[in-house]
Amino acid sequence: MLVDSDAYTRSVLLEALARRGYEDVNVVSSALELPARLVATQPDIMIFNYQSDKPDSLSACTTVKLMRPQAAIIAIVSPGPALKEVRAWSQQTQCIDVVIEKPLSDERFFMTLRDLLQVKMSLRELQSKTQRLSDLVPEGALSAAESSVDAEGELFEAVVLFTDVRGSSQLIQRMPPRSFFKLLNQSLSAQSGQIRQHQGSVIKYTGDGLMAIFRDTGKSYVALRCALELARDSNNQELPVGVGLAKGLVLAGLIGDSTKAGQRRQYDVIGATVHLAARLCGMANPGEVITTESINAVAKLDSPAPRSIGNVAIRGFNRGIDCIAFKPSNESTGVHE
Amino acid sequence: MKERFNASQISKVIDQALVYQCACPAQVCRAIFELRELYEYQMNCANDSANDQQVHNTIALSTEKAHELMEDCLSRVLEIEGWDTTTFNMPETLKKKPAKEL
Repeated sequence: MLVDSDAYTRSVLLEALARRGYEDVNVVSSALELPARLVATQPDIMIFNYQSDKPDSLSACTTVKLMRPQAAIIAIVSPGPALKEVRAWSQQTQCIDVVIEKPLSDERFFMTLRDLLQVKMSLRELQSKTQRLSDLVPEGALSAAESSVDAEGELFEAVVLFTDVRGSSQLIQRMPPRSFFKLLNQSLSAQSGQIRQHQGSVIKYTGDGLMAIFRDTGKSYVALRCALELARDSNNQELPVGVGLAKGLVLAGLIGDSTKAGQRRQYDVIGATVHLAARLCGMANPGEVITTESINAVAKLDSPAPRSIGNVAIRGFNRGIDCIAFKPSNESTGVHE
Repeated sequence: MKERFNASQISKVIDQALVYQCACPAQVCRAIFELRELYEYQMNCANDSANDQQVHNTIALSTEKAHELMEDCLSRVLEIEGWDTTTFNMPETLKKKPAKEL
């Protein structure tokens, strides 16, 4: 985008840009036009030709930074007092990225423009890659990969949720594999959406289900609400799920071998709580949630009514666990007032 | 130091002579601004000794002379090129000349 209030210098700059292959330039002649133009465009760079007799035109830079903070601003300024004023203003507002002195008699302007555009393009590619990558890995994995203390892992309290399709072995025999695959993806997408809506993080997909964690304040309540929604949603689906929930300490971090090139690591959350949640999920019937009495006591949900299963012996645990089952109907779940 | 052109007038010439030919009038303007800054710097320099004062005075005096010369030069250049010396607007004939390739 080129912002220049002088028709002559505007046309000169535009011609010079076109000669260098910059054809797609949005030209703005007045700062007043800017807001409307910025609604429709997302410039990578704004070239601002400062006219010394129009000091108020600096507001164009503020407008761009406010509406398009990712855009870099190159200001072309006359030397002398105008340059001092613009530099002082720029230091104060942090709105201008590069100031280039007039007259534009060397390559500096185009070198700066090219460099800034390259940086912008690289940044966009990186953001796009990060977005694609973050779709493939669990939330927290990227920051764990960048962290220098990832070898230690992170210990924290969380509610762990597992879902699993009930009767999937029979289903996959009944329907074409591609249809089952499509149906499973639809179900997992819907489940992931519910978990995100409840501020949970999907850690991994486990074949016919998934594993997620909730670690924010009020996690017992939020996770149980989420589990009930998942169970209820699956009631009328071809792939009904059972859901298991458990709360306790978990360890999150990168698991695998990082010492040899080509070896693979993956982000995971481990601990006894994870095993317990998986076992409870395994016990759940289609459209049912099984959780611990401790989660139920903290969540205090008003409906649906919990059904006590009693003290259940869980494989791998020395003592029995007091368990509760919920079978939500298609009416919404409520909270105890 | 006497100034024949004020800062706004000089800035206006530079703003318009952005890329014209070799932007020569703008280069002269730029030199004038630099000389003014150099003069101002000398005026603000601390004089710890008589020797210091002599140094700064010598530089200031030469700067003043150079500034006068460059202002004369600018005046002559603007006259040759046909600039309006009241508004400091670039003449239309110059605007029609092809700009120097940046």
